[in-house]
Amino acid sequence: MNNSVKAILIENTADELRDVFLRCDAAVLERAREVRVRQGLPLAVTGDAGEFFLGAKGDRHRRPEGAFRPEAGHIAAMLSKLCNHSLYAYDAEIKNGHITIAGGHRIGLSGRVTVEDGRIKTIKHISGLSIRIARQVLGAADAVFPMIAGDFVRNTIIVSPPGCGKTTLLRDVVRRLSLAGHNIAVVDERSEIGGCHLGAAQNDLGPRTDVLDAAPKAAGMMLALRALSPQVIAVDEIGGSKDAEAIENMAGCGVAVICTLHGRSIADLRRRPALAPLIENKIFERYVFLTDKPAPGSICGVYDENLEVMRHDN
Amino acid sequence: MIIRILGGILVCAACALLGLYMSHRGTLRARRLAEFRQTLVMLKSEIEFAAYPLPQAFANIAQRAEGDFADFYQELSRKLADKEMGLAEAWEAGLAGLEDNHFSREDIQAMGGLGSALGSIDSAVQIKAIDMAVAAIDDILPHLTVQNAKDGKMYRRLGLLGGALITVVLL
Repeated sequence: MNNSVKAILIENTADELRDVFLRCDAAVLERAREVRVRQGLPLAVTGDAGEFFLGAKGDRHRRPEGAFRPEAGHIAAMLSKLCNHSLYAYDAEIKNGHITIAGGHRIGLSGRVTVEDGRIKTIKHISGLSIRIARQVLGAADAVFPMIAGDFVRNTIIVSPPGCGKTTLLRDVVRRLSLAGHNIAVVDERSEIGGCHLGAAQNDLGPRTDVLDAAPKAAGMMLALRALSPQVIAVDEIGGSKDAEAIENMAGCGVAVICTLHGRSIADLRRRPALAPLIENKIFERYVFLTDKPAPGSICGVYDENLEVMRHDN
Repeated sequence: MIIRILGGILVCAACALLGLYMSHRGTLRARRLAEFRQTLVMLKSEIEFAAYPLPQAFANIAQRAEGDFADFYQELSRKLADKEMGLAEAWEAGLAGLEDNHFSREDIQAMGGLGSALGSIDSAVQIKAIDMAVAAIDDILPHLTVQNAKDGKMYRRLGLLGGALITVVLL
């Protein structure tokens, strides 16, 4: 199976939209981090060098005027293919606004949200797909690993705005810890860490890693603690009070937690009511801040449990 | 004379066998429909209870089905997994391959619409579509059984009498 970005896009599209990707230079698509397919709007690709648009002949445009504009049929066909012609099997994920396909690539969905009893029931008339390309970068954790895992593994939180490489770093930390001899449980609610397909991780997470794919974070952490006897638990994109409570429980049980969070600064973390107690109680022993400048995955600061700077790059 | 008698016996036997084959054809069609109905019930379970994606569901059915139905579902699974063609297209192509195998055009038409109903976000819609295909087969089967009983008797008699008539004419 060809796992190049171009192959994935061609495989999952039809008609004129497929032709656009067929004609596009593979090297251009290979550097893509995100592809946005919106009904009636310019086909946009975000890469390391910023955003550009694709024309009907696969040509690159800096401005949206000459770009190809996908129609409803293109999006419906693409969604059907992305879901293996089985949208019903992705019902729970669609409720959460995204699906994850083989390889861990995340497809964000936009359209008409149907609500029942105040809860999102599903998304209908899907009119936009945002394809985030997952990449495993071996060695992404080289710079921070010695600060996280010395004599013991420290509770660590990786913080950055979206698209700065949090999950990539977390994935490599997991792999390195696993290689170093730790039993790790990954609670992978969005299937982005392991890129699981039918329960089996497709990314290299090391030889001592168990993955609870699609498990809700808080419940998954408790389940992992009871069932898998991990030394370390890794979890992506925490935020709610239940997550914070579960992390506190893990720390109290002697299990190290490595997690990620959307944010830019310590101040952002303090503003989140659920997380403030974790900071005050010094549950986290390492805070790693990432930026996308000059490239995603760049470390802009590492702090210890007292919020004292261990490393500051920007 | 002996050769004539032998020839006559052979003609009689051939016609009787032809009559038997013709009477058996209807029975085979009914059996095949019942087998296909069973695979549709399996498909319903795969969608309703296991919520497997269709390529996986078809592969699971292929393991439990027999003969060319196993091949039908295996091929469907492969085509969808390889994203070679759309579901409706793959389903119709698969059914067309089954047409030579004791299914009538009427049977193929009864099951043909299912391909375009599968795969939607609402599993209830798919369950209903499968139920309708199963009901269509259930409608065909009793008529087919009555028809087979009538036609079978007729074909068998026709074979024997036809053979006897040809033998008398030839002798």
